[in-house]
Amino acid sequence: MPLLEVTNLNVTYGVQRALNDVSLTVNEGEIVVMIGPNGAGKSSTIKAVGGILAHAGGRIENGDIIFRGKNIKGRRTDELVKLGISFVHDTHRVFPSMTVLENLEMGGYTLSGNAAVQRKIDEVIALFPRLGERKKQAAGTLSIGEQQMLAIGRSLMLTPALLLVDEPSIGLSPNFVETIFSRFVEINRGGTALLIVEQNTRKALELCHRGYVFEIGRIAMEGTHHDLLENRHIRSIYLGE
Amino acid sequence: MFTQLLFNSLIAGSIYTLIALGFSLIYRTVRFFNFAHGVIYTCGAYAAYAFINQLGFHPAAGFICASVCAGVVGSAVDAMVYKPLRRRKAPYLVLLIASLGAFIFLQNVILLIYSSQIVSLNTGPVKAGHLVLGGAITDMQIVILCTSLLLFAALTLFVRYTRLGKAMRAVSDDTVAAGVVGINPERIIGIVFFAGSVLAGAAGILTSLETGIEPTMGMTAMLKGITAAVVGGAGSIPGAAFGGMLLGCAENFGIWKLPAAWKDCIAFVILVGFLLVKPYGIVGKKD
Ligand SMILES: Nc1ncnc2c1ncn2[C@@H]1O[C@H](COP(=O)(O)OP(=O)(O)OP(=O)(O)O)[C@@H](O)[C@H]1O
Ligand SMILES: [Mg+2]
Repeated sequence: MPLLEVTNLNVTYGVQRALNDVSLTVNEGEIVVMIGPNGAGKSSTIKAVGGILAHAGGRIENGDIIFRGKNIKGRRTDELVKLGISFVHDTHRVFPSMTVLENLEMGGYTLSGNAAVQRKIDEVIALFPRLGERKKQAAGTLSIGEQQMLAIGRSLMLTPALLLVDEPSIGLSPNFVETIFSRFVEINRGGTALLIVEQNTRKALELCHRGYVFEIGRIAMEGTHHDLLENRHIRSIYLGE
Repeated sequence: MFTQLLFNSLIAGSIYTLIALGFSLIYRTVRFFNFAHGVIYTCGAYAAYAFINQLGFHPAAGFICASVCAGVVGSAVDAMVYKPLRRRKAPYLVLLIASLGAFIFLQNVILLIYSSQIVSLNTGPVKAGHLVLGGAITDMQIVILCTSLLLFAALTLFVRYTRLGKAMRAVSDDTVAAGVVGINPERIIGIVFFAGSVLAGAAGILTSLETGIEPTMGMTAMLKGITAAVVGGAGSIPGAAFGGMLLGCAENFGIWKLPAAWKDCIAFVILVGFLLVKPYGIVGKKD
């Protein structure tokens, strides 16, 4: 049984249709990426899974989202967190007036006991030492790259079974992108499956086990790491070769 | 004269601070001016009247029970009126008007139960004030000052250091992100309404240690509380204290030179002045 199974997902924003019968799966321990041009529906898909589509003004018209055999369509985000699904927005969305440390503590809100929270904070800071240097600083004063690290670090406070990340590299300098992508590999080695939307197609395909190519509201192609990297269509259109 | 005016300023200021604190706590979480806050203040005063005068509670016990009652009414208004509106994604203006509706509704309920007659709390015989540095201050006034200070300190520490207090800050920073870390924002909003309303209720009770209780007392209280909150920067806890004290001083020192009838007017001149010149208040910032 796959960890996550999305079947025939249809999403609309008011009268505008954003997704047509999107189906995808993520298996236990896998890194899956979604690539494709702007407006193709990648964010809509990941937001539907993460339970924040309604906040963005969208609606699931049709389809099912099954996580570990349970239909989670329409669940609130805080309920999903308890099931083991964490979400990282493309716009970071840290708590700007709270310190880096408090942001991490909030990431561990559902953990019981201060010791467990502290242990996790140490782990996250080991993963992103920069956050340790900025501990006492208000999150709103961090650079974009640091806020992204904080948002990812915050989502790791719970060791999610599935981590959803929308456009982690957006607005980041190349070495920040390097750091964050190498952390994804480490996070994945720890047993977390990742579903990532990424604009940087080459990086995305190099990172993933499998990938989906979105085009205007539907999935145009899917395949493994090798399939997609070797595919002539992808090489010419997305990798510019 | 100066000492007396200072005492009066501090006492009035501490009441305004309490109202503004609750108002700000709620405002920064739900982002609308909750006008019903004023009637919660009245509820606190009448609940204290019910517990102390009608049921014969000890004043301190009556104070606690009545404050909790006010908190319950405040969170009930949220659960029954604002929450369904939030679920429908009602805009700011709709919530604002709904809160005025709740104000009028509850004020009329109180009027039906207790009539428009002024009542007063049974807190023992009135004693003469103590003379301190040339100004008089009564036991009741000392109680008002100490209780307000205690509540202010308790709220500040609670919001800064406890897990629930941090969750409140997280929800007011970003409701969606709060959901993403596993906080149920609706639950936190309910708690915020409870806490803010307890403070409003406490302010109503403390006021009635000195003056009579009447169903319409909430309106001016609310306007003063909002003024204090706006002056301090709506949503800020230290700002609420600053705004409350500033307002208390301005009113009491103002009538040193002006006729006493101008007292309420001073508050609104300050409110309009701040809205024009510094709409985000002393410590507030644009968001
Ligand atoms: N809040 C919204 N309101 C209305 N339409 C929206 C909204 N968000 C997305 N859409 C529309 O839905 C479609 C899919 O958008 P989506 O954001 O899912 O694409 P995407 O693949 O993530 O694109 P990008 O690479 O730009 O992030 C687009 O046509 C877009 O215009
Ligand atoms: Mg997107």
